[in-house]
Order: sequence, then C-alpha cells, then structure tokens
Amino acid sequence: MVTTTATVDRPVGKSAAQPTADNAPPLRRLVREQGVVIAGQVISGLGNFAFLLAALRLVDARGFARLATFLALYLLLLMPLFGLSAGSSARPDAAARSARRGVIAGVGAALVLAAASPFVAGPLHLPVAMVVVLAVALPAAAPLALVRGRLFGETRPWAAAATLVAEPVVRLGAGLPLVAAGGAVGGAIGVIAGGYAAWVVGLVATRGRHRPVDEPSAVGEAKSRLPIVTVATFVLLAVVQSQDVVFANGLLPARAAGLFAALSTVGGIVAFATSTVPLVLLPRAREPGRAGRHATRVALAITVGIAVAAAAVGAVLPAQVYADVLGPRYAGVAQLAAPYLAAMGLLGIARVVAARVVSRGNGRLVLAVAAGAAALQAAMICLAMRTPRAVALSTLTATVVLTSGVAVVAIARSRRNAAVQRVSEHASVVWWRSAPAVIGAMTIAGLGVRLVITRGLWLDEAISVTQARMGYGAMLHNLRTSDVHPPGYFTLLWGWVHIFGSGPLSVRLPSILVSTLLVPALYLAGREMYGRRTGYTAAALGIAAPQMVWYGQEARMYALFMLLVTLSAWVQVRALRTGRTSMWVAHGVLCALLVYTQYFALLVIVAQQLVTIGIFGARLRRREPVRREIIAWLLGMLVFVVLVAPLVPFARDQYDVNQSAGKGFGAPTATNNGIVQPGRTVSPYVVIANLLWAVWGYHSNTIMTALGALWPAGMLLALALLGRGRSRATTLCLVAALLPIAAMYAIGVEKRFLFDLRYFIGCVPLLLLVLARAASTWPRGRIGSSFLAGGVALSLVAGLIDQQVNGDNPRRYDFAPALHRIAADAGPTDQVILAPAYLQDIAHYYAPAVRQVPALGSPTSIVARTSGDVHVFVLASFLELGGTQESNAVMSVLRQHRRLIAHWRLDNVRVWEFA
Amino acid sequence: MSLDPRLPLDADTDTELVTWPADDRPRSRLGTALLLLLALAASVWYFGWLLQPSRVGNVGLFALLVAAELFNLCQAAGFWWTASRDGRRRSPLQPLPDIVDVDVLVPVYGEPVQVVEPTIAAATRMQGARVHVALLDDGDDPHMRAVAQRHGARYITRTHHTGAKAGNINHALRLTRSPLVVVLDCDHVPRADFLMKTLGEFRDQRVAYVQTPQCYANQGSGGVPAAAWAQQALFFGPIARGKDALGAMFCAGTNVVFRRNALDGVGGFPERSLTEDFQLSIRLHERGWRSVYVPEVLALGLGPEDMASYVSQQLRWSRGCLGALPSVLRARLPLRLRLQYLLSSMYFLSGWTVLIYMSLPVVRIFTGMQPLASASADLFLIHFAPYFVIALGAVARCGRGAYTFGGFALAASTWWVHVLSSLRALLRRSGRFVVTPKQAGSTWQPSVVWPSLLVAAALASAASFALVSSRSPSSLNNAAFAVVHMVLQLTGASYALRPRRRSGRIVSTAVEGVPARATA
Repeated sequence: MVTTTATVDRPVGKSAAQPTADNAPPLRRLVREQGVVIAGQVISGLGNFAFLLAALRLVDARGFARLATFLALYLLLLMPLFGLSAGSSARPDAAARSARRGVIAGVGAALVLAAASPFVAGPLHLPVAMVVVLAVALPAAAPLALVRGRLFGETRPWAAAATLVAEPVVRLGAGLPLVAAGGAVGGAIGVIAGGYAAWVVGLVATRGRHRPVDEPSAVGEAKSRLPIVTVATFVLLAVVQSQDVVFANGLLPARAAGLFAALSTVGGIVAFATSTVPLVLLPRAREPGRAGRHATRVALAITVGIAVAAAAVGAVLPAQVYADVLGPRYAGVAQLAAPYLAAMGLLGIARVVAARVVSRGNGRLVLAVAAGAAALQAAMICLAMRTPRAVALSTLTATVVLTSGVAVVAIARSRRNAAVQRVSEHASVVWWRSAPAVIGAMTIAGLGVRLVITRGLWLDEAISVTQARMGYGAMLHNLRTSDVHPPGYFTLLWGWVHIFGSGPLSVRLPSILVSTLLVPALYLAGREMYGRRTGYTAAALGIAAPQMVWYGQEARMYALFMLLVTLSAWVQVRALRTGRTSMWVAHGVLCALLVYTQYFALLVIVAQQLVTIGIFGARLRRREPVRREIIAWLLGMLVFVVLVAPLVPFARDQYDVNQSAGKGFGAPTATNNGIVQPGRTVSPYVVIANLLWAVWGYHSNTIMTALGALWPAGMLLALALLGRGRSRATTLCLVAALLPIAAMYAIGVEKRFLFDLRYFIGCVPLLLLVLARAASTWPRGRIGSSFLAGGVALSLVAGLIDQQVNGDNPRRYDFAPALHRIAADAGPTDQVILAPAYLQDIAHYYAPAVRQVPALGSPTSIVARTSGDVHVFVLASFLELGGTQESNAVMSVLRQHRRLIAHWRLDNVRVWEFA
Repeated sequence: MSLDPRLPLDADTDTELVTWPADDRPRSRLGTALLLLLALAASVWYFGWLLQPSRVGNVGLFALLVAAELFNLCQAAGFWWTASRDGRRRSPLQPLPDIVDVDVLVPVYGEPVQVVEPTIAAATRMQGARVHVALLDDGDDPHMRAVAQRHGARYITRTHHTGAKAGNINHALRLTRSPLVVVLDCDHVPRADFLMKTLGEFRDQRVAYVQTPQCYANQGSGGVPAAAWAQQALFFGPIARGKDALGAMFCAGTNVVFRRNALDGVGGFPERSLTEDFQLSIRLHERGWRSVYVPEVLALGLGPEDMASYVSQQLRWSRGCLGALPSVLRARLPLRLRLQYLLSSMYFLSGWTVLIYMSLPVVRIFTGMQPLASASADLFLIHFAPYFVIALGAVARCGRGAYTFGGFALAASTWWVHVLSSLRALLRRSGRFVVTPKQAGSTWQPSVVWPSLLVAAALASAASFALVSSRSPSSLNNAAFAVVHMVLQLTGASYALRPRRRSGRIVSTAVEGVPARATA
C-alpha cells in the first residue's frame, strides 16, 4: 500500500498582500514613502516656525517668552511619547486599544496638572492659565502619537503626513487670531488646538479600519499590546535627544544655558527632520529577506544624507550667519554647531538601526545600549566641566556610543541569523568573533575618546592654522622659508580648512580621524605579526593610548606619523611573509608618505630596511631562494626614491634658509618638556622619561620624577624577557622603535632640544604592539592574559585621565581661556604684549580683534608702542625657555608708567593687565 | 612529548641546545664573539666608574657591594670565556674497529620499580656493543631483582652499604670486567644509539670518559622541572660545549661512559664526596686523562618534581662542589682546567651575592646608610645599565633562549642553599648523600621555602616603610629595588606554594614492551 502525503500551500494568518522575500516593494516606492512623510515633517516644522515668527510680531517680548516657554514644555512632554509612536508603528493592531488607555491616562494627568497649576506656574514662569492649557493638551498627546504610529505601521504615508501638516495649518489658521486676541494664552490654545486637529485627522484616516485579531487568545492578547521594548527604546532615544538641554538649563549659568538652548534648537532641526524615518521603516523592517533590507537601506541612506549635510552645513556656515539668525549673543553656537549637528545626525542613524533591530525581535540589547548611552550622557554632563562645549561633547560622545553599540548589535544579530540559517543546529556562532564588528566598535569607542578634548589650541597648532589659511602656494612658500617640516600634513590641513573652516574642532578633526584609524591599523598590524588575539589586544590598547589621544587632538602631523608607521610596519611584515611585489611597492609608497609627513621618519624607514636586509641575509645564509623577493623589495625602494625625490630640493631650501637665519634645528623647540633644561645634557633619565611618556602619556614633573625613580622595574622586565624567545616581528618593532630613539639621543647630545618624543613618536604604536603581544601571551591561559591585558589597559586609561585633566601637565598651555578673557575684557584700543613674540599666531587665532605688540626689541621700545589711555595686557608663556626674562623686563618698564590691576595664572600661561 | 627513547625527540626538546646544525657556525660565533667583547667593554665601563675612591659611601657596605659585583663579574667573565669556545666543529665520529663489551651500571637506592624498569629495559636494547647491564641495588629490594631477571640484567647487591652511590658503583666495578663502563641514573632512559654515538670517542686512547647531556623528560610539566631544566639547559648547552672545547668538561654522574683503565687508575669513584663525579673528574684530569662531551641528548631522565627535591639536589651539589674547592686548588692541573673547575665550584657561592644585593636597599631604607657616594642616579644608570643589559643578552644569546626567568628566579630564591652549604663547608660539616626523589611530590611545601618567604616579607616591610615615610626619589628608588628582589623571591618560592596536588604520582617513561606507568 502506497501512502502519499499531499501538501497544500496555504498561508496562515497572512494576507495575500504581505510581501515575501521574493516580492519586495520597489525602491522607488520605499523612497516615496519616506519622502512623503519627511516632506510632511518639514512642512510641519516650517509651519510651526512661521507660527512663532508671526506670534513674535503679535505679542510683546514677555508674552513671546511665555509662549516660547509653553511650546518648549509642550514639546518636552510630547518627546517621550515618540516611543508610543514607535510602538504602534511596530504593532498597529494595538494602537486602538492603547489609545483608549492613553486618553484615560491623559485625562487623569490633565486633572492633576490642572489642580497643581497654581503651584507649578511660578517655577515655570508662566501664568496659571497657560499651565491649565498645557494640562488640556495631555489627553490628546498619547492618542495622537499612537494614531500617527498606526498610520506609519499600516504603511500609509500620506495619511501620516496629513496629521503632521494639520498642526501648523490649525496653528496658523486658528492660532494666530487667538494670539492676536488673547496674547500668549491665546497662542497656547492655538498650539494645543493644532495637536487636537492632528489627532482628529488621524482618527478620520483610521475610521473603519479596525483590524481584528484572529489568533488564539493568548497570542491575540499579546498582539494587542504595544511592544514594551520598542516603546522603551524609543523613549530612551528621545531622552538622549533632549535631556542635555534640561541639564544645561539647570547646571549652567544663565548665559551659557541660553547658548546651549540655542545650540539645541539648531541641532533639533536634524533630529526633527529624521524623527519620522524610523517610524516609516518599522513596519517594513520586520519583513523578511530583501524587503526588510531594502527598506532599511533606504531609511539609512536618507538619514545619513541628512546628517552629513547638516553637519557639513553647520561646519561651513560662518559665525556671522548664526549671529544674524539667532542673535549676536549666540554667535558662539558656530563653534559647536558642527559636532552637535553630527551628534543629532548620529542619533537619527541610531534610531533607524534601532528600528531595524527591534522589528526583528532583538530589542532588549538595543534597549540596554540606549539606556547605557542615556546614563553615560547624564553622567558626563553632571561630572564634566560646566560649559556648553562640555555638554555638547557629552551628547556627541553619548550618541557615538549609542550609534556604535546599536550598529554592533545589528551586525552581530544579522550575522548570527544568517549563520543560523546556514549551519547545522550543532554549530554555534558567537558574535564577538566577528572581527569587523568588534574592531568597528573599538574604532568608534576610540573616536569617542578622542572627541573629549580638554585643552585649547597651542602655539604650534596656531601656526599650522595660520599656514593652512593661506593660499596653497603661499603656504608652501611659508613652509619653505620659515618652517622645518615637510608639506604633507599641511596639504591635508589646507584642504580641510578650506572646506570645513578653521574652528578649534575643525582643525583638529583630521588628526582625530587619523588617530582613530590607528585602532583598526593596530589590529591589522598585530594580527599580521602575531595573530588575532594580539591584534584585538593592540586595538583595545589603542583606544585610550595616551599619546595617540594627545596627538590625535593636536592639529599637527604626529597622529599621521603614527598611523603611517603602523601601516608601513603592517605592510612590511605582509610583504616579508608573502613576498608579493605589490606589498613591497605599497611599503615604498607608505615610506614616501612618511617622509612627506615628518623628516625624522627617515630614521624609522632606515631601521625597517635594516631589519629587512637582516632577514634577507639570514635567508641567503640558509640558501633559501630570495632573489625574487629582493628584487621586489628593491622595486619598492625605487618607488620610494622616486616619490621622495621632488621633496629633496624643498628640504634643502628649508635647511639653507633656516640655518642662515639662525633658526631651525639649532633653535629650541617651543615646548616646555620639563626635563630637558637649557644648558643640561640629555641624561638617561630623559630617555626613561620619554619611554614612559610614549606609553603612559605626559604627566607633571613630580610624577615623572617619581616614575623615573622606579627604574629598577626595568631590570625586572629585562629578566622577565629571558627565555621568551625571539620573533622577527618583535625584532622589527623594537628596532624600528628604538633605533630612532638612539639616533635622536645621539643627535640630542649636540642639539639637545631635538630629543623630544614628538620627533620619534613613531615608536608609540610599535611599542604598543610589543606590549600587546606580551600582555596577550605571557600569562598562561586566557584568564591570566585577560587579567594582564586588562591591567595594562587600565594603566593606560589612568595615564590618559591624568594627562588630560592634570593642570600640572607641562604640555598643557591654557592659551584659549587666557586669550578669550583678554578678548572679552579688552576694549577696541587695548593692546596685548606677547612675550615671547612668537605667540602672535595663537594670539591672532583666539583674539584677532585685540591689537598685538610682539615683545621684540628693548623693553622700553616695546612699552613705547603701547602708549595712550589704554589697557595693556602682557601675555607670557614658555617661561622656562626665557619667557620669564622677557616678561619681567617688559613689566618692570610698564610698572613705571602704569598700574597693575589684574594677574591671571593659568597652565603655563600668565597674563597681567595694566591700566 | 615522546618519552620512548627510541623514538625521535619531539619539538618540545630543543635538540639545537645540545647539537648544532650542520651549517656554517662561524658567522654565529662571530656575532657571539662581538657580543662578548661588548660585554667586556661594558664591564670595564661600569667597574671603571665603580672602583673609584670617591664612590665609597659606607665603607662596609661598599666593600660588600664591590665583593659581590666582582664575584659576579668573575662568574660572568668565566661564562663569556667558556661560551666563546662554543661552536667548535666536531669531526664525524668514527666507530671503534671492533665490537667491544660494555658494562652498563644502574645504581638504585629505593626508587620505585616503575621508574627503574624502563631504564633497565632500554639499556638492554642499546646497540653498537655487547652490552652487559647490571642493576646495582643498594636497597636489597626483591622487586628490583625481579626487574633485573625480567630483562636479563645482572642483579648486584652488597652486604655493606657504604659510600653511597660511589661505593655502590665501585663494588660493581670489582664484579665486572668490560673495558668500557656506562653509568646511568635509574631514571635516565638511554636511547638505542647511545653507544653508537659515544664509543667512537674512545679511539683516542687518552680519553677517560665521554659525557652526554642530562635532559629532563618532565620539563614540559612546568613548575620546578621546567625551571630546573632551564638551569640545566644553560649548563649542558653553551657551558658544557665550551668546557669541552677547553678540555675541561667534568663528569655529571649519569649518561657517561668511562674507560675502565682510567677508573682503576684513580681508584674508582671517590666515596667521601657528595659529588663523587666532580671529584672523580678532577682526579682523572690531574692524571692527564682527557674528557669528551657529546652534545646530543642520548638519554632522557627526570628532573626534580618539586621544591623539596630541587633543594635536596642543590644542597648536595653545592656542598659537594664547594667541598671540592681544596682539591681544585691543590690539584696539579693546567691553568685553564683549574680556572674552569674553580668557576664551577665557586658558582655555588653566588647565593651570598643575592643576599648582599637584597640587604642593601633594606639597610638604606632603615638606616640611611648606602654603599655609594657621589653617585647620582643617572650617572649610576648610564654605567650600570649597559653592563646589566649586555650581560643578560650574552646569556640569552649563548643559551639560545633556553635560560628562562623561571630558572633565574628559582636560582635566586634558593640563595640560602648556597649560604648553608658554604657555611657547612667552612665548618667541615659533612653532608649526607640523599637521592633526589623521582616521585612527584606535593606542590604545597611552604616549609621548604621559608627562608625565601621570610626575606620577601622583610623586603615588603622595607618597601612599605620607605613609601610611607617618604616619597622622595631616593626612597622610591630603594623601595623599587626591594620590590624587585621581593618579586624574584616570591616567584621562586611560588613553585612550592601551588594548590595541593595528589602526591605519589609517578612520572612515567613509556617503553615499548613495558606496561606504561601513570603519566603526570
């Protein structure tokens, strides 16, 4: 007897219209859906803005301030309800039932607020009537959010856009007359009328479209409830968007809080513009296969485009535009606009990715990330220095962490899901073994660390900016005739400044980004040299390596130097391992880029080639076939020579001009490193200090002296190296790191100021690679190596924190606050004497309007240039390098003619004010 | 690791340690020579600065420091001299023209059967001669008799158990007749080609004995065996090869082939010495005999499994070698041989230098007295650092990475063994021959390392006191020195402070045809 089994394809619980993996909606449709809603959002924003502008002309200043306050409170109340929109977009079925609950809850809240209005009105600086009006808004708030979300979830963009447009239409149509008649209270009524109108439009749009739940009762019950995780996630995202202005209002002084509120308004444009994108995405994102992926990509592309455009516009717009639009008091917004807009753009991206992840049922991790980011932001704002910049950077850091965390979850989950589909049930996939995800997260963490800048520009950076602001030819001429550095980095900075401006963050961004790239570069180099575990450890150490962060925050070539050394070492090892000609050519190109970045890179290059020659020699001795590889290496060196050749006359000109002018290599570096004192030779302690700096960063002289006294630990380290074996990779790293140090030490005997870590900063990533190798392999077992690696990382973090915040760090120069104060206190005819005279670039950067008098010539002639009924400031720095003598001489003359009225002491900077 | 001596040694055994590849060695010798010259220059640089009247701080402390530094300089210079002779090309070994008889003597005293049997079995399988294996049982154990019978070996025992191992062997020598005699410790399992790789050296009629390296089969188990092996690897590597080039290699007591005539000529093994092999070598060299070292692992043995075993071994060796100092001084030996024997004997005084170095920071912290004056820290560093680093580099290069931090720490932490042995030698207290235990003992033996722990505690107290009382650079520097020594002491002592392990397990050597014992 033959049995057959007939199968009938019968979709269960799905309508025929549901897209399948092979039936994805066309891209044009997806774009249109997003575009319609965004258009509605923009119209809504513009309409509300027009309402405010019109109201501004209809009421007096006090009335407008009250109306603006009311609107801010109204939006603040609505912000968390964004989560309800997300929840109902994810599960439209539940919107109707939840809306009823929302109305009931809203009525209850309204009654409470109305009853408390007499007590709340005072602290809010609002009339009681307006507080009551605010209470009246509450019953409609949640239902409005839910009905909008339902419309998004049912993929009805036009209807959703209608609810968005309805608000400003009613506010303009009915609200403005109310403003004219009733002032601020009338305006408040007009505002909430717009909200109710939007709700009504939504109800009309959803009339008769009740979706019955036909699953069994338990499932049906579940499907009729909003997804709590989704709601909570988006509430937290809204918190990240708006809690900074709440904290700023409470923690900052009035003027600073106002500045930040203006900044938040500017940033809010981006947040507002991208807020509907994830809501439109949610119903599409849960669709399997290409449908979901396409919808996600469209949403991401739109959001990224808006974010990038906004950040770029914010960076490019001159400060005058901000002053014209927001008012002269808020011109300072210009300096913070780019990073804050970037933060809001990242928030928008995070929302989109979060929508994708929660729609696939993996919301808990995203919720955790969002909670962590919100907590981090709050903690940073509360703990950080109380300035608008600190608050803005806290938000930026939090959004960086948020976006990276959400991205990692998304990538890991998608890989896991794909792998689960591919492999058998016995296979296990652990997401943390996904190198791109892990390194990506580390890189973003490194970026976040580097964006926490705790110091202003210093002298060399100001010189870089001055040069970068010139025309390209003029800059090259300036470098050739007055500088000692090659033009590579300056070319990069010149292009950047001419595109993104020369604000403090903007000029440092190239170094920040380059330094951030050190994290994946260290991974690549470590993996190539030793293996994946060392690669991960090296990348982890690179996140908070003090010197990488320090020079990553400096508008100079040192971060680029470190990156190129790392890449060059990576490629060299790869070339030695594979013998490929392309690798040797790439190595030659990287070496050439190194020389174009910093001349002292030649020492690193020589060291690298010595190791290469040694390896080839050993192979030849073993009679191994290396002829082809030697030819490939020589080809790479030929490429290097050809690329560097044009630089030779440039360098020669620099040398000749600077030597004949008595400057250049013979002149002291403008750095108070606290160790190399004028007149003293370079001692072994200097070498120890530089090696300590290389790994653990710059610290106060007291700390360095104490650390230097612990040199017997070096004996223990030397003993611990016994029996560790030898590897060519370690030899390469150590030779390339230490040979330049030895060479600079030898040069330093004659030109003592040249023995400075900056000039052999290439040793830092190489030493970190060796350190990572030791930390990940010396102990037995994973626990031991995790402990040691964690301990090393913690020591780096401790060194980083001390370096960044310790005011006794001799490398910190507080030019920014000193010059800002001078600029704020100086009148149009007041002057500042610069001692030493080469402070003019930094003074021009921070206080361009203040007349400068460089301390050139005799003190009497200097003072003579400051005659008149003016205040004279003396800005002094580099005191251990002669600044004290100059400033004292000038002030002794000044005291004869003027009265000292103020003296400020900042980190390595002194300011005196004479009347 | 393959423990069957007839199978090729696996990658864990560094055969390069005891052989050298067939390629050209002179380039490597050139590098070593340059390094050793550099080491010499660095020592001149350092001692030229140190040995100046203006450096004298506290006279007594300065004298102690200089004595310790000069002693270590002598040891270092001796090592450099010996290692500089490493790398001598050896001409291919020619076999003896005739098949000879060889007595293989395996002295036993209370070791487990499981340890002894593989050695007996492997000995009977040695090729290249007519082998007569004799199990010399000083424990009168019937199980040993059974082992001997099982493998066709002769079972020799004696009525009067005097002279320990030396007496046991001498007794056997009187009962055997072969012209060549192999001595194997009961835990050293010989390879089948042991005789093929050694007997050819006796073509030179002046050769009294041919020594081969000891190699610990249990080195891979970490802890004491690994650290002890690191020390042995340095000795049986560049030091032994260098001594061989100088004709000064002494007998190590096992894995050695003797010419019977030579033994008879000096009256057999000295029975009054704890290191009878060392004493025997002096006598043989004094008589003009030659020694040869074949730097190839031809037998695998067992290193001390725990701290107690290691300390026991070191006590015996140090007492024996220090006790042989008068013999070395009295013997009529060529200068190079005398110096080599002196170096080897006096190595066991190095514990005193460790004690001095550890004491200096403690004295400085508690009393303020210091050995050096007019010596700023950076001046001291600039003279001391090259000497220290290059000397370490020489050990690392010559030892080819075999000498480890663990080996160094173990030696440093057992400084008191040298001190005790030298005091006993001074007081002419005779030691007792104690067989190094072959059984894996406990890893929890704090009573064995109490001197190290006591010193570590003193160093910790001194460092704490220094940090609490002052944060000056000088205090920090001395505290750092104290901590460095403390770390070394604790690292060495840690081998006896590990979680308890089931005792009584026997490390096995598996041999074909013999039931394998439980492995560690």
